[in-house]
Amino acid sequence: MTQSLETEFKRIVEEHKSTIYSVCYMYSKDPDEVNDLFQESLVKVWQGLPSFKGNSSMKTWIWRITLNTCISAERKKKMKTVPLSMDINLFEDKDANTKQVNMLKERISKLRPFDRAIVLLWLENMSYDEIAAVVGITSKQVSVRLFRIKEQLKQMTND
Amino acid sequence: MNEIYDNNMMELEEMRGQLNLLKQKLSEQEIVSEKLMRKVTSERLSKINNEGRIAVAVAAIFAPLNVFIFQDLGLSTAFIIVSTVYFLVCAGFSLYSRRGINPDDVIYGNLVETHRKMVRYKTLCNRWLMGVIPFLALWFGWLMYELYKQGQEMYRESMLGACIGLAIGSICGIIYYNKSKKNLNDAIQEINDLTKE
Repeated sequence: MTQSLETEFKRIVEEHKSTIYSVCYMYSKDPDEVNDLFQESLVKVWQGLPSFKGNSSMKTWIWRITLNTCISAERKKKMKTVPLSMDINLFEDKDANTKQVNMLKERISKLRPFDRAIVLLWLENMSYDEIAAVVGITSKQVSVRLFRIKEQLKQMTND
Repeated sequence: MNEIYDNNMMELEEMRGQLNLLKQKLSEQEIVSEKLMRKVTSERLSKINNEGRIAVAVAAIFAPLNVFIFQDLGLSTAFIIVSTVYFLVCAGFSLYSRRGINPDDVIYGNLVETHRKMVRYKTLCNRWLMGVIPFLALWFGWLMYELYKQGQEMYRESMLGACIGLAIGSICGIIYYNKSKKNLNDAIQEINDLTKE
């Protein structure tokens, strides 16, 4: 039973690691913070996997866990764990693609944490209903929020 | 109005493109965990030790067996002794070369010491190959000569069997050697990575 859960966990992590890490990156100020959030998110996925009943899609569930972790992270609580990270440092890489990524990060990081979550989901091409399911508001509220966020982003571009 | 909409869409597409760049970069990366790496390396060392145990077991079985078979074929005592000693030396080398390699050391112990033992094992294996291949070539020639001494009929039949055995043995040996070498090199590299600052 544990073996199949482990196999399933590995499969999920492999499939969604980019998404999880991207979100953690958008909420972090430095490499240590990204790795902490990333690890915490994976731990929560592992802990929640046995009780995942499939009421939502796996993708929605992963997003929910990751966003909740990032938004409500308790930086002061340090647990002694095996460090997990991706073998990459986006804070130090200087290539053209990383510069593009950091432009996005710069814009998104100026938004409030909750708005950041909505924008990231929206950039994932998720529907308003899907975004609403992840963040726990109605799709109408998502639409209103997104409108305000777009205005805010436009304002940043003009400044 | 259309121009404003188009600008908004371009901005959206630009942001989407940037996010996709990030995900593309990440999808090429591995999740790194020192504990996982140690576990994988420890399993490699277990495999190396198991290979050694199998080699000893095979030598223990074939050393006496080959005495009976070669005696039955009427081969010379000198040849039988040399062949038996060869099997015993193989077993001895398997034990000696793997001396001190303990999979648990990778998890709990000194990685630098483990690395040193792995490099020593690799060096010994390379030296062993340099010695054993010429020996086996000579041994095979001697075997052919011994079989030839038994008579034409015996020689023809045995020659065919020996050549088939040589071909199969060589192919299996090469495949096994390549796999073992890769496993060993990967283990050494992983220990290098773990001890890198």
